[in-house]
Amino acid sequence: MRVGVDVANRSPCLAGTRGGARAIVTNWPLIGRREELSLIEHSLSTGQYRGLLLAGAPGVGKTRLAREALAAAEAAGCHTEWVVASRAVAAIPFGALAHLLPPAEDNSAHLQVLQQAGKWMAERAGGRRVVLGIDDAHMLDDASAALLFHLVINGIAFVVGTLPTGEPAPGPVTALWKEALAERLEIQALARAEVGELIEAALGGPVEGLTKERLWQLSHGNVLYLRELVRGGRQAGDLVCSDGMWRWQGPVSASPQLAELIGVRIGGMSSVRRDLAELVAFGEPLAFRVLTRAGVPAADVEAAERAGLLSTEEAGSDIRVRLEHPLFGEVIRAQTPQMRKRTVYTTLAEAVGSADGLTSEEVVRIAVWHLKARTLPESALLVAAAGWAVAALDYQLAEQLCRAAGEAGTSWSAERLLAQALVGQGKAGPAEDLLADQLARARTGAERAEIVSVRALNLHWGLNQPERASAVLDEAAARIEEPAQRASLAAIRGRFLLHDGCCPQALAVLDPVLADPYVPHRVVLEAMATATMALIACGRSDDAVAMAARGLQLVPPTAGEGWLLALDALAATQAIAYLWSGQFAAAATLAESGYQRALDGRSPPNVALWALVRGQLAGASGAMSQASVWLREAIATLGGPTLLHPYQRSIARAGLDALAWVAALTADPAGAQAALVQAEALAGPPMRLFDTWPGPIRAWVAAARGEIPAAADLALGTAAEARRRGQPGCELIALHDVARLGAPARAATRLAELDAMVQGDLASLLIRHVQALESADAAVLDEIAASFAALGANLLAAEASAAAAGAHRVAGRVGSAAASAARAAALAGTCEGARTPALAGLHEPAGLTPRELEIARMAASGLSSRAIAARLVVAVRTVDNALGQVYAKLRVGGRAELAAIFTVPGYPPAPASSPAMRPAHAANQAG
Amino acid sequence: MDLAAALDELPEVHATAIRLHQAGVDAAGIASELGIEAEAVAPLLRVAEAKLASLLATPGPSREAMPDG
Repeated sequence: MRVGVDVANRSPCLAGTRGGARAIVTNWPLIGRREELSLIEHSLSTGQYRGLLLAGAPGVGKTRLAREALAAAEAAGCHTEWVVASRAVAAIPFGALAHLLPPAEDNSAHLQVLQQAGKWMAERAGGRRVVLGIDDAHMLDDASAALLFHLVINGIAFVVGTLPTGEPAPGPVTALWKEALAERLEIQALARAEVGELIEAALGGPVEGLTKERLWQLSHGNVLYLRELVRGGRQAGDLVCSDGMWRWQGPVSASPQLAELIGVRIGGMSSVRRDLAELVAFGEPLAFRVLTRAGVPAADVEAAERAGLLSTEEAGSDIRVRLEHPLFGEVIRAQTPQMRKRTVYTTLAEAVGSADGLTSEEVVRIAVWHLKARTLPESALLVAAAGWAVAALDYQLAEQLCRAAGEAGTSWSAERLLAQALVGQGKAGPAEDLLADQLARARTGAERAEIVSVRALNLHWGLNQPERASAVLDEAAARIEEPAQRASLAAIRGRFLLHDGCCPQALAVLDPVLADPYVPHRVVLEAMATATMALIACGRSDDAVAMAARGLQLVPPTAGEGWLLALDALAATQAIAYLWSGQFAAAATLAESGYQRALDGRSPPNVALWALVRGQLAGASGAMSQASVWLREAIATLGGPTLLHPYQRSIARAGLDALAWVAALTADPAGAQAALVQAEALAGPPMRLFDTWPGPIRAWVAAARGEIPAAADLALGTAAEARRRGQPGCELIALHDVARLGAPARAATRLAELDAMVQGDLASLLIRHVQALESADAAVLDEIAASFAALGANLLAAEASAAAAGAHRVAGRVGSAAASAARAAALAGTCEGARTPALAGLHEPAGLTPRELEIARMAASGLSSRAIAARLVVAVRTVDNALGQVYAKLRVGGRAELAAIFTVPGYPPAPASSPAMRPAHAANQAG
Repeated sequence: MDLAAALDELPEVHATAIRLHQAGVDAAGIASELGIEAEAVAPLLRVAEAKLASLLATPGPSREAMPDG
């Protein structure tokens, strides 16, 4: 349906410069119009109709489509003419078509003009078919409209016209579709996904998901508005490209040009209608009954809807009222005077607040309106709103509400929420002062447990004092006896242990929390998210999937926003658990819906979380460019290097580590190193979990630099560390990577032990992969490659196929070697630039004997004949003879050309200095 | 992509036109519901159905494929 744009493979920020590109976007591509163009082409070619009228709302893209249709007609050999009707010439007979008419004679009657015009046009066309484009056909003067009808009905011209939906058109124009001479096609605004594609194509690079969502919400697919929003954003420096990702910073406001466009659409408003429009603009969506309570007569709403200013939709027993287009609100709000705004906010707060049974969303809205109107509502309302703001992670708003509540009268609840709001914003010092004071005044165990939970988090992550955080937890645990209250402390302790890399210990601490039926569900969910991660690290991926599933069943079906955050944290860990258990498709489905939910909820932390998960999934599948885009989105959405909330820091750390891994696997060692440096620079206590999770990242960075032996050593070191910490899952990944880095013999023995300790199809497959690499069993490697491919793990499948090709070659099975190599090449081709040592063999030439291949590889890596001879314990002359054969077979003139053949593009040849670190099939050959 | 997900991806008017058509509503009824001319219904449906077919042919989420939990 869409004109494909492979954003992932394009240069980021192509259309602008880094930072604050201000160039005007030009030549927007046509996206999402394939089917319309197809219908237009069909209409032009079949002869069933003599014209086509494209109708639609202003700015939807009718004129562009008509232009494209004329271009297609011209390319097909037609004679085309373009006419723009307008109010300026509507009063002049034939005004719009004057330039298409023969020179006027003084006494020409309309009838004569019609007859002559047909002849004249046919002569101009020189025998070619005439296609006449008419923009804004509804503005044609009567004479031009009659001429148009004459041209069409007599088959002189095929007409492609545009007109706005709902506007009256001259009788002859209307007759075109009413009398079935022409088709009338209603052009729709673009769909959400098409808007995203169009923005990325226009900007020439990936755009952060929240920015795309925001532009979709504002434009609703209207291409003209979208263009103006993007143009205005770039001119104002709000829409910028940073680290390869386009992002809108700050509030979106309508540029003067856009305001003018909208102004034309809204037209002049009476004061009554403007008052109504302002109420809706500041309060939309508004229930109709709220407008009634605000004193708005139903007739006014009906009239405004008829005038195209408002739209209504049924919502349960009521009607929901919005402005007809979201941008109307932007313009109206910007034009509303300050004092009038306060009146509107007060009216809205009173009208919504006078109802019974307010929803949490309404409570927050009323409180915010009061803040903006500078009126002081009851403290209880502000506290309730602050509670919801904290649950939605909107800590800035929560702080404002709590401080306003403080002005309305000191409240214990407001103080506790204020502490959370401060922690959430990274104001760790003031938060600690407040929390210490609150703890001293706490009267009950429940209060103490709640305060200590927040304080411990703040001490650990905010103030980087893990020992003190632990001491505070110990002290509270000694004073609190109620099991449910102790459970909330245990949940925090479990999280600390997980991030410290102590996964079995975390599970031990969390076990009583998970087993106690009286622990509040929110605490259980938090504990389950932590336990799921720990189970994955411990190699119990099936248990992890089950744990997350059990937790998700605890979320009430009608869960509000506070629950959704817990749901996302747990669902994201479930997606990772699916990945580690080898259920890639289930993981991808979960991640896709989670990401969309986060976009719908406009929650940057959750968008970042799901972008991270999607990046990890894409990387595991071998879609390296896609992975890079998702991971950069995760990091960009968190807002750059100043990460305040601990939740965000762990997402950023995981994202940067994964980005380093992706860069390393795509032959970008500098990019990988830069991501690692960024990860190191994150503030807060060390997150030791990431020393081993999800694998030996630094090993791959070393491999990207060509330091293969060092890379394998690093991976072995990571495996040893994971073993020491009781993380069989992480140890398995690290040992598998040791084998991928060319040393399966160093991993196989321990993997055999791990086999009994880890769960899941993927784990079994990884272990078999290493064993097959070690034994150079080509048939098993082929089988394993197929299994990896069936999971969707294309990079691992490509590597296994490449190793199979090498093993077949060593065994002299030339045909099988070629088949495996072809499969490997095809799979590697889907991996978007992945370059790993195991794929290096794909680029090695065929036709050499094993010994010639070995010597050629060593020579290509820079070893002299003497050094090769010493290594192989043969005479130098033997080496030279073999090299002579190699040069002859490969038709090369010397070592330099040989090196070029053996070097994978973007990947250095493996140094042949250590036999243990040779590529997999070389090691196999030796074995 | 399954039918429900594909319909969600379509522009709203296209999705509504298809749903009404599948429910047996005639051109006049669809035109009235969408606020367009009756003669414009057939071309609109052709474009909408072509877009739907294109979406159904693309890989994507399937409501039925959602994992438990």
